[in-house]
Amino acid sequence: MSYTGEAFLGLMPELISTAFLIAVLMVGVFAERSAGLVASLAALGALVTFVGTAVLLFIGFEGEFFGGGYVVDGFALYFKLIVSGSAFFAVLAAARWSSGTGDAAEYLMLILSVVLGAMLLVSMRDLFGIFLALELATIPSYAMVAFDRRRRESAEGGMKYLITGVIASSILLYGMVLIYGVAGSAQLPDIARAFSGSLTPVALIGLVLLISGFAFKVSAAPFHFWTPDAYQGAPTSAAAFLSVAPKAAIFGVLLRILLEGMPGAAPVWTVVMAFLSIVTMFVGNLFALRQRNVRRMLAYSSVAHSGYILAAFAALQGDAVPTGVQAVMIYSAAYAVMNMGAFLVIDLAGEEVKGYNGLFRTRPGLAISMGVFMAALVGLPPLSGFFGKAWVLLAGAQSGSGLVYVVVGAVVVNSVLSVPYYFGIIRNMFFEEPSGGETAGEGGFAVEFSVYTLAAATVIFALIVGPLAALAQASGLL
Amino acid sequence: MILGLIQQEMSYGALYLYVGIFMLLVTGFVATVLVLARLIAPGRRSVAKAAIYETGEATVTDPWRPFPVRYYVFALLFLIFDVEAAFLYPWAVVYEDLGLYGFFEMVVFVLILGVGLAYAWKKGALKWV
Repeated sequence: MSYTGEAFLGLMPELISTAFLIAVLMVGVFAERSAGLVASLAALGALVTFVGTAVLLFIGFEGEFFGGGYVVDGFALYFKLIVSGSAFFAVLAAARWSSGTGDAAEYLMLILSVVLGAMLLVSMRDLFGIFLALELATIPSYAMVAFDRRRRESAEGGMKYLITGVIASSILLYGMVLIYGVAGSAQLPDIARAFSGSLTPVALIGLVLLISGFAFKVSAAPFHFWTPDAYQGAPTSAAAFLSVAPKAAIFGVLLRILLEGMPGAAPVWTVVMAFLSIVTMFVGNLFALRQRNVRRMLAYSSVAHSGYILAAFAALQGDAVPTGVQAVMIYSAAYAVMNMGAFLVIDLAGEEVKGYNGLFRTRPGLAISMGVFMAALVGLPPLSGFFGKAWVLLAGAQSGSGLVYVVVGAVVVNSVLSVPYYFGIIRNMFFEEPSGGETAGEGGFAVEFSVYTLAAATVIFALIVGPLAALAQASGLL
Repeated sequence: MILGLIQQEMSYGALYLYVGIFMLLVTGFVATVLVLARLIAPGRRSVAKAAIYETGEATVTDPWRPFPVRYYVFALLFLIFDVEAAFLYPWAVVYEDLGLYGFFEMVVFVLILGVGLAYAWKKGALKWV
């Protein structure tokens, strides 16, 4: 075991976020009335982590540490950028709200812990390391959901999230143990050797349990029941952050497990993914149609979008593997900007669909931003969501498998299905009279800044999608 | 005979035979003892027998009542030291080989755990209210 400066460099983003995490907690506890200082410290932490990750990516840093169990490559760094970038906006959005709770330091520290867990997660190449990092990312998120003590829904959502999350973790762990039992090792390259050729029944059960556990975590149907309650109860910044950052990291690590750990079993897991994807898309969209509460609508919409990303997983076969990987990576980034923005608008315009009536008259900037997010979530070009879906469809077309063509068809059908509820909000904002009696929450300057920045990012995504695709191409997974 | 069979072909599946036999034995033993006790034991009930056993003392109050669980915070804090001990012992065994680097590594680890203690202390978790 050798410790070199290289390992410190590779772990720099994680070390930075750990240092800021501790600093935020200690400053918050030991300095009186320091909410502003704590929030700036947390935002700075997320930003420095982001810059550190970007520097590593820029210099093309690659390396394996801790006996091959931890790998820093372009793929991992890409997802770390998504995680730390969205954490920055989550901290901005949470700054004012959390100072009102009196526990700003704790809340912001929880965000940074999720960041740390999610960043470690995408670098893990060892099943038990993956489990540890996943728990590090999800245990703080239970607390984040239940943090709004003034609302009963928050406690209820937190409790449901905790119980289903713990069950999911145990299912996942059981799957991992079975895979470990079959492969005799928890490291992905060793597992790849055991998972070639025909699978033993135990290996198959392990694989299915593993995928089920991950399906819980990314709220894929039929494991999505916690999502609407958790996102409805959670503070807005928590819902915005948790629907984006840990999810992207979990998709990242699932991609790594499947492609590095069990490429030989691809015929099995692509079929599982195909069915999971179709069910998830339909359940998410059909339930979203019925919602009168924007939080619940966006929660079901996030279920549907998990389905779209899973469609790219189903396409990971034959020549389509590089495009499929690209699709997951680009979709995660596109989804991060548009969904986070849409959730944060709730902080400014309220969570009742009626509250959006005539928003264009009263607050044109906000209405246009929300319009951009909604159109992007539908997948209209040239907004970010379009490129995510375009890559998914491209990967599906290249896969040359009949089942995947069905999945691709379902993606198209579901994009049409989702139009009414996204455009219902747009119609309310632009063509309805203001309902009066504004109940809109006043989120403050930081939230508005986040919303407008994310809206701008959603619009100019077309300009950065080329470099992102190139980055994904050179990411090192494969 | 069965043991010989198992040693003959120590395949993975045959090892489950051990577990199966063991489970049968255990269930059988428990069932037998319970049934025997029911058959043999004389069932003479009395008030004194049904009373709550308080190490031989007579009970003074109703034990089913709410009481403050103050110590749960201490139990949580104990976890900090518990984790610390779990890592310190193996570290101490190989301390010589790790050298200065290992020393500072453990210092950092203890400091991070100390942050948890400092937080709890400042929040008043160590006060007995």
